[in-house]
Amino acid sequence: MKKQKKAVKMKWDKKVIIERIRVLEKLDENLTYTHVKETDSALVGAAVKYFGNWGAALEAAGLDYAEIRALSKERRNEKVRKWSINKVIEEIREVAKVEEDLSNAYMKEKHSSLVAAASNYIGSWKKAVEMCGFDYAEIQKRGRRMRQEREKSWYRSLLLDRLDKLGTFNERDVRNAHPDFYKLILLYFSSWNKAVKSLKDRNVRKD
Amino acid sequence: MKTHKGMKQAIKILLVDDEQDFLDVFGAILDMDGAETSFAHGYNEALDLFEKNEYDIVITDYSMPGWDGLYLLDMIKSQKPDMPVIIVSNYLNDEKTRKAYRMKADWVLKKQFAYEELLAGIQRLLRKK
Repeated sequence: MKKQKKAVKMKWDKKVIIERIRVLEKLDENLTYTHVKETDSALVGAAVKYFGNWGAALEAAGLDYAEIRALSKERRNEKVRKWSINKVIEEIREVAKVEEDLSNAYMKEKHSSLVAAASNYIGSWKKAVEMCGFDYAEIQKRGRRMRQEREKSWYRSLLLDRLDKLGTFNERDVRNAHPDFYKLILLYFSSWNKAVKSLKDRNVRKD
Repeated sequence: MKTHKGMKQAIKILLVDDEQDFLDVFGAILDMDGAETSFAHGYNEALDLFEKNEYDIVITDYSMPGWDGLYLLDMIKSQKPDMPVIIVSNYLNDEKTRKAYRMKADWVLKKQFAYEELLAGIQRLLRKK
């Protein structure tokens, strides 16, 4: 596999900024300064640098910022009818009964409207979960750990699938023919024999 | 061109993810199936590689900083509309999936997928190309 090690720095210019704003428009994203600053702060920063302010960047992309702000206000008013601080708190407590992971990253994906409502009504997801009596730092730590565990388990399973497909358990052959794969086997299973044993155990369980 | 069990020819895949572990694992196992994979850790590296090299397919993470996964998808499709692009993500909800398809993703796949599922998808997209 070919690796490119040197990170390439983002090349911002007016054209790139306009292209990105148009992508967000296609996605029907809320294009107000506050919202985009939250979802893509790099874009807002670049827009301010190259156009003076966010509104000017939107205008350069052919959009009417006044209209966008008015639309956002309208949407916000619609949401006001659906949510309140109490409803947000109540909903977080309900979700906490079924979800083990309340981290920001996980909740944004699984319960995006709740996280958005928490942000609108309470200021941020962090403040909202703390209002419910949870320790946010602990939640984030636990979320990261859970995600790492899920990923590690997935990678181990993928490596075993591929090992199974090889049709040989000869360590030297695999090391010579597929050095990158072999290194990963050692990394995820600590030894070749443990990987082979894990695969055999898994196949027995499947049978 | 190599002949392998999974893929009949050496296809060139650009893998984009800000998680090195994903790149390492998929790079290694796809290569074993006859692919030639290149890595990028984000939008800039990916675009740089994409513009300098020829690829058969791009597999990119959705949840890179900002909207980088979808910006990349948009850029690739504007340069090469027929280039198959698979979007993968740790967490997918209906809205995210809809957005990716709206930006012309060829396939949107939730991470924790089975390797064979990915292989079959790659082959299906390449046949369509």
